[in-house]
Amino acid sequence: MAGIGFDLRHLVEHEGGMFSRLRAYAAAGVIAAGPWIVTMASLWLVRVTATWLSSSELESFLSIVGAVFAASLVTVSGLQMAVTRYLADALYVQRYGGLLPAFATCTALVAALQAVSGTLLCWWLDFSPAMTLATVLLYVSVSLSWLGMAWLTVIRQHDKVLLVYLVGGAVFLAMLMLIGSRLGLVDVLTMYAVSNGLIVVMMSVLIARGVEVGDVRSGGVIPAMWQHRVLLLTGTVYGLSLWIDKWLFWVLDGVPTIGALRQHPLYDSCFYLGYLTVVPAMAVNLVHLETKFYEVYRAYYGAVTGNQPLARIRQLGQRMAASLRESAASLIRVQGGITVGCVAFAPWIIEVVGLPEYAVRVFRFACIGAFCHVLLLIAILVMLYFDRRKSALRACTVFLVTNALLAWWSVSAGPYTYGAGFAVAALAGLLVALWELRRTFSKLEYLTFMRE
Amino acid sequence: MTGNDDRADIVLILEGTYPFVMGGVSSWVHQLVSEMPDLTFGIVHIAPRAGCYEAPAYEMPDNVVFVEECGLMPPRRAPSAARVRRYRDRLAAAWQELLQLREADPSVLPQIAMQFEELAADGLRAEDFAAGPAFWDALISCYEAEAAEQSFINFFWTWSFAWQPLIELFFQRVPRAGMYHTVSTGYAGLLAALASSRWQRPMILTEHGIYTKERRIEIYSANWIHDGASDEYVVDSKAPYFRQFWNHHFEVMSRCCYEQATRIFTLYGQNRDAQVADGANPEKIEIIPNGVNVEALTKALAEAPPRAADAPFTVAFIGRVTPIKDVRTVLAAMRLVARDVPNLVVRILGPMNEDKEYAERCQVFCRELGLEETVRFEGAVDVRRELPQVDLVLLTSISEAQPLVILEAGAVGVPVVATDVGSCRELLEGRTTADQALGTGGMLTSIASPGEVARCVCALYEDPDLRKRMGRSLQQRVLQFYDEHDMVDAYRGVYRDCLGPVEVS
Repeated sequence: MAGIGFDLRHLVEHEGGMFSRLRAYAAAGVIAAGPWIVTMASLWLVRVTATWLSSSELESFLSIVGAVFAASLVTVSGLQMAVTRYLADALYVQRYGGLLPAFATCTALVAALQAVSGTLLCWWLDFSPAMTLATVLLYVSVSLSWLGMAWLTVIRQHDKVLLVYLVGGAVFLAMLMLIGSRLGLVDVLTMYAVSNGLIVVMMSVLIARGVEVGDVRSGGVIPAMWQHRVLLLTGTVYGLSLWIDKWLFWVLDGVPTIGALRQHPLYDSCFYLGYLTVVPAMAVNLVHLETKFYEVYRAYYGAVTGNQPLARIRQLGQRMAASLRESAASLIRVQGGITVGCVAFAPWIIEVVGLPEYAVRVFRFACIGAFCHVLLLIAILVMLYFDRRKSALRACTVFLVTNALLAWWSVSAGPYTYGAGFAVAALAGLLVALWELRRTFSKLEYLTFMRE
Repeated sequence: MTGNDDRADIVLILEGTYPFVMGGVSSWVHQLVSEMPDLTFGIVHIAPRAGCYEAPAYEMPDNVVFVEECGLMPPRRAPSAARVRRYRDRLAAAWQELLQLREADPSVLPQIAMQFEELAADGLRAEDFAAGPAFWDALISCYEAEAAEQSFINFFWTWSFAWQPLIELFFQRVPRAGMYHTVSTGYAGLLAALASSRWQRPMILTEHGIYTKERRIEIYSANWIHDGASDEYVVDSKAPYFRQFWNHHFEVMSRCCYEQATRIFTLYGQNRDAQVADGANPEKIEIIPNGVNVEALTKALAEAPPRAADAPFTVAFIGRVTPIKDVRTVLAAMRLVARDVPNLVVRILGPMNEDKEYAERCQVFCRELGLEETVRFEGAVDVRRELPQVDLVLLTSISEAQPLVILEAGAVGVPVVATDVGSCRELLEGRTTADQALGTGGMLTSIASPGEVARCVCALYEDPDLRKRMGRSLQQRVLQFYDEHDMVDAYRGVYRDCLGPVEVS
């Protein structure tokens, strides 16, 4: 019989997984927001508890910790996003064997990079050897904890993340209470690094127990990073955009704290405080995204792969959009209320926490900025759910560039404008993200089936 | 060789056959090419993917000037979004035409060929078509028009899988030649039609088996209609829509080929009817049957030792021992014959290794019938040498096209009892009036009817004259109408007509 007819089908079968792109990208919001919450909470914890440190020592301590968090987030965020995707893919195809070696590879890579770059930074900042050692320890352990958080989240143990941080924080506090009063800045910093190291160890143990031990080779995690380079870039841009304004304020308008390290007490404290006002809403919404939205999301892809007609798929797509609108509306109601309240009662709040009166205006901008930023973050996460990496990158980039330009402008324009830049930048990023989301939903079926 | 820019006198457009895959059609092509050293041939071979066959299975005759491979599903990269946007309108317009083709209107083919020529000249490629909003819009419009209740993911893959190879063909550039000859419809037929339309050169089609019919059988036994949930092809008996989709798809391809073909050839009358049913113009269709090497067979007969007068009555089954040949019916019939014919010998001549389990079962069945003394499973033998030692040839196939075994038996004057399938009736009773006048060369039975077969065999056993008469009729028929040299000569004539007197040296 002449004719190949349907022999073609063998090719299709061999290529396999034509729908592999429909992998549920179950990157929990915890990944992007978790470190941020931890950072803010930690800084306030130290500020409140380490009362015996002299005020300059406390400022130095906070300044170093702030810088360490900032630098580690900027450098690890990208990797975190890419690794999350790699893991989600590996779990989807049930390729469990390579996970532990991949984790080991990532850990070694991050530890080595951060040790070297941290040492260089401390040297550049003119730190003493003891201070350098403590700072680098902290830098490495904090970076590794971000990585560990991503892993725990993907292997569906996010509840453990909170537990691990509670244990780590308790250990740190206990150490402070027991022997802290006899110690100086370097010792407190070392203790903080050790408690963070403990967190990393606990995470590693949980991860090692959570995944199977398989192949000893690293399962191609490094080539996978290149494959997910857009995510790598998106994460880095996102991390950078969160800190670029603070960094510019430190450099252009800050006061020296220790070595060549600088901080901007007014700007920093207003923003750390401002972010605390959105933490509850952020947490609640990420949980919503993980539960309710994930349900409609799964229903949609379930209909796609479950042989439903297009009309049904469209209907579920609309339901997904409706669910998002609903949760955005409730977020705006709840968090909007809180933010309006904070803005209204700003003078009182500022007085309570003991900041000078001229901080009121900056704090108000910080609250508004933080509110927009939460919405932006959620929009970005939703985009990643639909694998719209480039859309997410665009929104992050707008946020980064606007934030940098306006911070630079704000420093020269004077204290009256402090914080306004961040608020406007977050709003700009949010608007772009909403526009991108709208576009995504307007051609959802097309995007589902035809990758651009 | 021609003196102009043509790269060959004849370009053969083939699909999954010569020169890479052995088989009946391949041997036929090889013979045709080998016996016309005065003409140059080019070969365009369509495969799922270029390079998926390692090396030609035949030694290329010197007059084959090129062999090109065309892959229907080459590995592709998605075009950039900018490209898709830039060409959006043109792609949409081209899809409109393609959808018209789907309406089974083959008259748009020349237009499509021209349009794709322009698109290719402007730098568009096959991958641009399988991506972007234009592809999506075409798909959606078809889905909403005819399949809105169906599984969308199935439709999506069915559609992509159906159109990708065609788009590849539209972008394929077949070298210019004096004429084109394709031996099937399907992808090869479509490509031949496109080449013929593009270069304004004649195209002929020879169909041995009917492509759409073979596909229909494949589709009905298919268990691979795509199911996205498991990323595999699984049984989808609940979705007759997709079966219809594929049937229609292949019918459209055949229709395009029939429409563009200058002349259409097939082996026997029933095939002709099938082609007409698929939309071929009956006036274009001619029958050129396959032939056998009469000379060699006659020589073998002359050289054979004379049969002893007391030789047992010998019935031969010649063919592969497979279910489609229905060897069990032979055995059951012989059980009945053995009661009336004392010195019966039944020889099963053919390879037993194609379906070993079936061959095994046949041997067990044979023992159960108590025929182990009568029936001999002899495996593959030289049929030319054995045929003169046989009184009667049996053919019990459930399906056949134009079985060579009847022609070979006829060439040595052995009558045949055959099932009424394929061209068996034509071969035994004659096709044209002149042919019919030669008399019948054997007897016809229904399929899977041991009783009928037994009655025929007994009748022929009891009447040696009838046997002789039928053998002679069949021999006359084969000598006159089924000599393979006639087949080659017929095609030589066709080529000459198509190429024109100037171009043949």
